[in-house]
Amino acid sequence: MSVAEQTFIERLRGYVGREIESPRTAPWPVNEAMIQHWCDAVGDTNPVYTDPSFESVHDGIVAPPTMLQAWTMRRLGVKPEETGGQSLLFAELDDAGFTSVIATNCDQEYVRYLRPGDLVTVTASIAGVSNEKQTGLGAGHFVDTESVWRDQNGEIVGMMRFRMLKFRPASRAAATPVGVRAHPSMNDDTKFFWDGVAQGKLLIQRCSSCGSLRHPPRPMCGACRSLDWDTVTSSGRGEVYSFVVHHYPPIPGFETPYVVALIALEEGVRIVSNVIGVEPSGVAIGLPVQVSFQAVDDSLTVPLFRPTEAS
Amino acid sequence: MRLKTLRADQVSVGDELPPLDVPITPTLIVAGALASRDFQDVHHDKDIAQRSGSKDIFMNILTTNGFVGRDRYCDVEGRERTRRNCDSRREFSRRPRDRDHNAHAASRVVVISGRAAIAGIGATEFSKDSGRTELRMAVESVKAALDDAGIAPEEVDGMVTFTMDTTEEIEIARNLGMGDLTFFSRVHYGGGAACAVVQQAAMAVATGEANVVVCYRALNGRSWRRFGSGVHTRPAGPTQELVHYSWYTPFGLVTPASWVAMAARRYMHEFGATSEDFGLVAVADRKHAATNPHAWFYEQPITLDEHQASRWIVEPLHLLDCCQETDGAVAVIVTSVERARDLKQPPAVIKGAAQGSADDQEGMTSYYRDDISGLPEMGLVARRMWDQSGLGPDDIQTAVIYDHFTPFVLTQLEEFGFCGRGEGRHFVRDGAIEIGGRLPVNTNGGQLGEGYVHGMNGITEAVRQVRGTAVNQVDSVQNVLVTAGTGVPTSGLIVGKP
Repeated sequence: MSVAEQTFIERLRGYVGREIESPRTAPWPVNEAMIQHWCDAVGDTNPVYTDPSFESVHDGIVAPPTMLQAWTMRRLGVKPEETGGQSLLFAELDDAGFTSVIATNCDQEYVRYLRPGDLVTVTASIAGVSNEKQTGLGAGHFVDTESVWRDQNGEIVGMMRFRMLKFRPASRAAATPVGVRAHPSMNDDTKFFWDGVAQGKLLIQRCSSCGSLRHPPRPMCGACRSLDWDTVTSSGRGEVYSFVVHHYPPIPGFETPYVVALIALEEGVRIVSNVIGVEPSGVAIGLPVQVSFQAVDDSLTVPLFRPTEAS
Repeated sequence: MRLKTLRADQVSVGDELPPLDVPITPTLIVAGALASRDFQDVHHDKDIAQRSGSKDIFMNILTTNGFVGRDRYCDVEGRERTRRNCDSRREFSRRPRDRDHNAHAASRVVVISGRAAIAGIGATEFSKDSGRTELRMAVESVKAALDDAGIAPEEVDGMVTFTMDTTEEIEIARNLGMGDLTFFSRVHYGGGAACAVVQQAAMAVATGEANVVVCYRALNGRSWRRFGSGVHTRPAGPTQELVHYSWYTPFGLVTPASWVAMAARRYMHEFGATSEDFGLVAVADRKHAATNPHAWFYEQPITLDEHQASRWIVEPLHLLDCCQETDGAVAVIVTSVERARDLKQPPAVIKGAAQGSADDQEGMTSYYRDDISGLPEMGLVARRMWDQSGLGPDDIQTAVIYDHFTPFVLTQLEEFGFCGRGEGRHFVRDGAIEIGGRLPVNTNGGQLGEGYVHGMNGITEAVRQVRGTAVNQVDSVQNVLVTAGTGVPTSGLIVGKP
C-alpha cells in the first residue's frame, strides 16, 4: 500500500466509533397500515401480522420482525445530516471517486416483537472501514455500521450490523468486451502454425521420419525422436471432444459467456479453440464443427470453429 | 400442488427450509422499497441505477430481509429432483508404461519410507487481507513450526519451497538467524509441489545432506494479487512456458478453473457424473470448515442446493466448486525419525512421499492423451507410495485430497484405488467423505473451506490427525494420505504413527 493510500485509509478509520447521525425516532408509531403494506409487498400471508381475529400466541397483531429498520427510515425529502459521521465519511469516499453505494450484508437480532403503538428510536455508529477491495462492481471500501433500536421505554428491541460497499462504478462499457484477445507468444518451433492461420490454413505438424501427427507443435517427435518435420493441412473438420462455458472473470476481447472447446480434428489430433456461431446451450460433446478463420487485427488471425452446416 | 406450513415444533435449528422462489420484477422492487419507506433512487430509477454502476434498479436490503422472514408456504411435494439414470461404467486397462515404473520402484522404495518425520507444524491465520508481507508471514509460520517441534532456528540446515513462492529461503534464514544451510531446493508446477517439498526434505534427511529441513509456502494470494485470475496478462516472449500458454490464451482459456472445467466436462460425459456429485465434495469441505475455528468459512456450512444455486464461474464449475484465494503461510519441519522421537511432539512418520509426471503431461492442460478423464500422474504417485509404504487404501483412515476444484477430488479417489475408475460419484454419496463416514476427506475444511495455501495447510492437518489433535479428529488414525495439486505434475504424501 502506498503512503497516500495508507494516509487515506487511516483518515477513513478515524470515523470508526462515530455516530452516523443523531438518534432518529420513527415518524409514526408501529401501525397496521404499514404492516399490511409490507406484507402485501413481500407476499407474506401470515395472519399474525394482519388479522386481529386470528388466535395467535402473540395475543394481537405484531409487526414482522424484519420490518425493524423500516420504522425509522428517513422520510422522503429529508436529507442526511451533513455533520453526521456517515455523511462526512461518505463525502470523503465520494471525493476519492467511490461515489456509488450498495448494501452487501445485514445481520439483525430481534429482542421482542413490536406491536402497534410502539414508538422506536434508532442510534447507529460506524463500526469499521475496510482497505480498498476489488469487487465485481468495481473498487471500493466496505463500511460497517451498528444500529440499536429502543422502544418508548428505552428498552432495546433490536440490533443490526450493516455492511455497505462504497465503490467506484466500473465503466458502463465493461459489459462489452474491452481490448482484444491475447496475442500468442511464438518462437521458431511454433511460428509455422500462426503463419498458416494467417494464410487461411490449419497446419498440423507431421514427423518426417515416422509420420506421426502432433499438436501443439514441438521440435522433436516423442515417438521416434526425430527432429525432422513437415506439415499437413487439416480439412478443418472435427467434433467437440470437450468444452467449457466461461462466465468469470471478464477476459479482454471476449463477451461472456463464451465457449472454449477441445476439438478432435478428423486427422486425429486435438486443438483448443472457440466455438462460435451458436449459443453456449447449443454446444455439446460430439457436435460436428468446421474451422473458420477470423482476423483479430492487422497482426493476428485465429482459427475458430463453427457448427458444420447440415448438408 | 399441496401447500404446507411448518409449525415451530416441526423445525429445529439447523434444518434446511424449503426454497422460496420469488420472481423479481420492477413492481416488486418498487413496492418493497415503498413499503419499507426506502426512497433511495437506485431502487426505483433505472437511469440513476445504471449511472451508479448497476445493470438496473435493484431490490433494497430491507425487502430482502422481508423475504427471509416471510412465512414458509412451500411446495414440499414434487420437489424430488429427477436424476439422469446413467450407469456408463467402463473398465480401463492400466496404461502401457505403468509396469516400468513399478519395476523401478522396487529397487528404490526402502530409502524414503520410515526415515524421516514431520516434527513441527506452524501457520499464520488464513485471511483475505493479511495486512503484512509474505516474508513476514513466512518467518512467522517457520518460527511457529520450530517452536511447535522444540527445535532452535540455529539447527535448521535445509529449506525447501515452491518455485512459485516469492520469498527466498535465504531471507527467511537471515530473519531467523539460522546460520549455515547445506540444502535448499525448490519444486515446480504450482500446487503440485505441496507434498514434494516434504519428499525433498525427507530425501535430504535420509541421505544425511541435512538434519533439520524447513518446508514453507507463504502467499498473499488474495490481497497482493488474485491468484486465480488468469495468465492472459503475461507478456509475450519466445520462452517455452509462454509459448505453451499461447495454445490457450488467444481463445480465452486462461484461468485454472477453466483448465479443470475442460477435463471435468469430459469426465461427466464418460461416467455420467453430475454437478451435484462434485457438489458433495464442497458440502463435505464446508461442513468440516464450519467446526474449524482456523478456517475462513468457520461456522458457514453450505447445502447442496446452495452449491447448485451458486453462480457459474466456468461451466461446468459453479462458484462453490472453486477454492478460495487466501493470504496465509504454512511451514513444516522435517527431521529424522530418531531425532523426532525425542522432540516435543509425537512424530508423524513419512511412510510414503512421491512425485509424478505422466506420459504426455502438460501443466493443467493434458488434453492430448487418448483419455483425459483420469489423472495418470496422480495414479503414478499412488502406485509409488503404496509400494514405498507397503500400505493400501484400506490402511488409510482419513485423507486430505487436493481440492482447488471439486471434480478432481473424485478422480483422485479413483486413482488411489478407494473406488474404481468413474465410480467417485458413488463413493462420495451418503456422507462417505464427511466426518464419521467411510473415508473422511479434508477434515480441516480443505482449500474450499479452510484456505488455499497451495496444499500446504493439508499437510499440517494430516499431522494433526496423526497426533490426535485435529478439531475434527478421526478415530484410531494410523495413516493419513495427502495429495498435491492436480492437473499439473504432482506429488503425494503418507504420514502416520511410528
